[in-house]
Amino acid sequence: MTTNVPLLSVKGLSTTFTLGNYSVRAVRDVSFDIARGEVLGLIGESGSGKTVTGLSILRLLPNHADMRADVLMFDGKSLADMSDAQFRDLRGRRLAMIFQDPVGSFNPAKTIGWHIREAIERRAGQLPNSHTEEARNLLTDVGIKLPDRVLNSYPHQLSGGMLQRALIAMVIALRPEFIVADEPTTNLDNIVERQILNLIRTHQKRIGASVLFVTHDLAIAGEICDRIAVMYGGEIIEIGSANDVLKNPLHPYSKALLAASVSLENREDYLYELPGEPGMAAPGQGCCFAPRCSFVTERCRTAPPPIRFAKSNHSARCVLDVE
Amino acid sequence: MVFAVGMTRQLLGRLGGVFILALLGSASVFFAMRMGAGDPAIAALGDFATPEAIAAFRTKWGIDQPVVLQYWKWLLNALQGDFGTSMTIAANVPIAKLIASRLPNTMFIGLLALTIAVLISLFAGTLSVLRHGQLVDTVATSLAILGISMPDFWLSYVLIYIFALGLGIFPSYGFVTPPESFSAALYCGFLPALAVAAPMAAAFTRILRTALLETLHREHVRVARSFGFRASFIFIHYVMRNALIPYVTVVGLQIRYILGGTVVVERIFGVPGIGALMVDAAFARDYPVVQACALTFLIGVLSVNLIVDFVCAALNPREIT
Repeated sequence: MTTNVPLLSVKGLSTTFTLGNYSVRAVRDVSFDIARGEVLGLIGESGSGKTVTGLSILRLLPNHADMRADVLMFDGKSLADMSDAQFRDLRGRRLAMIFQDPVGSFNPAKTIGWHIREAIERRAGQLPNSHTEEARNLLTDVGIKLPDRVLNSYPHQLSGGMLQRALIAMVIALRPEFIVADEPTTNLDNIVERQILNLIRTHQKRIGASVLFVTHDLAIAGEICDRIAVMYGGEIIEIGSANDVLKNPLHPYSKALLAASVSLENREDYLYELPGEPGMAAPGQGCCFAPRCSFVTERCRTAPPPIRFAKSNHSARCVLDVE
Repeated sequence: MVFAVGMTRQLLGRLGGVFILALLGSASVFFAMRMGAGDPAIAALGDFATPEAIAAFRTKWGIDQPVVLQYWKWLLNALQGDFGTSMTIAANVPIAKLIASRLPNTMFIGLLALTIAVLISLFAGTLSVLRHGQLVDTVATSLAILGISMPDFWLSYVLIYIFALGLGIFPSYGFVTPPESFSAALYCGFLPALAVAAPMAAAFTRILRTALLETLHREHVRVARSFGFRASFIFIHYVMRNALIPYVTVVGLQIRYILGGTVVVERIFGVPGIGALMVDAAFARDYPVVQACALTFLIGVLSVNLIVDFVCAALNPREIT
């Protein structure tokens, strides 16, 4: 799974939203690599910048957002140097995204069949047989029992789980090499969530796609991801193999996040919670987690923390010694 | 199948509603006319008519009888398609004939006005959204406010002043009916239609712009972009297609203003339509003509609403039950 050249390489990605005189740096100096066929989990609380990171890579940000990156390479080509037209052609053929809200993802005026046929056409071009057979097969592949009925249904006639399956079928139809999955199961109930996760894992392996899997659920991340990056305040504060990050977290925030989820699993009377509220440090100042950190020192508040390595592929942004 | 049965039942129900509303409407126009001042006998025979002549006129037309009885007689005849003859403005001409000769002109002006308004709004609304926040958008939005604020009678005279008297491009008065010469009808009908269309075009532009902007920021548009669809494809199938639902609803609500507008504009431009006929008849106290014109307008508005509702239902998959 480890090749010398990563499929996607991101270095120094920053995204700022500006409205009038007010601006927010939602993503700050984010760097990571994803190998071919690898699933990288991006975990963190709401507002930590996970979704914006995914949208930034796919250039799906609204107009008032400004994205910059030192390096943004996909399969040896610089995404940042591409024109919008070139990039649009890449999206939907080699890059794709699965979204959080399956109901809102569909055009309410068109049938599911229309959506899936358009997705097939995006990859295969226009063919005389209008792709109905392939659309039917795709729906069967994602576990839909009555594909013909679903093909003729409008989005409002189907459940969220059914729509998420249909959206995954659309994405599979593209056979992309890189998929951003943005909390694809957040709006679904637990049983459906399991099924959808298995579906994503199965098809990701089958078509050999790399996935940036955005989630706030550590258990899910542990199951589905090869590596995990933890985000806080718009920065990646720890990155490593799923096993290392979940078993041996380095950063105080990762530890607190795990402690919170463990206390939930053990049904303790008092659930662990992290004091304070998430915030973002102004650029150039200290560590963004300093106000809530129980190991905080004077050094943390004045200068940005260094990146320290526990292993060659497991690192954290923290002044604390790692061993 | 289910769709067709549901549609048929809905259609029958709505037609019943149209009938009841037409009945109520005709009654209110009938009694309102009779309550107003003025006398058709004096209007027809002049101020110096003898009391005997006036009495004879009143007996002949039955307007000496109780009003309720008059309405009942009118209703019975109307249900059989007989609207009687004109009392004063075109003495003894069957009203059905008057209406039949003038309705096509009003419909022509109305349809022309609607077409102009829809074309302007589709163009201006789309342009202002594609250039959102830029100069074109500001100009289009400002013009829309101006258009909504301009009364049609005033705009008519401004158009005559500029295009007829000033530039001499269009005639200031007169009309050629479409069967005589369609191109001449378009030429003569353009200014009156434009006067009716301008306030509507403004209202349509505003609603289309709002609906497009709202749809543009919906999640499914971002999802469509993630599939790399062409921008024009996304705009037509994801944005415009969904914005059309509120747009057509508003177009349907505004269509009644066409009919109101033609009443005034037909008089100004000398178009022999139902609106002008109704105004003339009202001045001459020609009760049965006013009555028939009002009924025609009423049925026109109700049928248009009916058509619009069905178009909306066809556009919106959620409305099919």
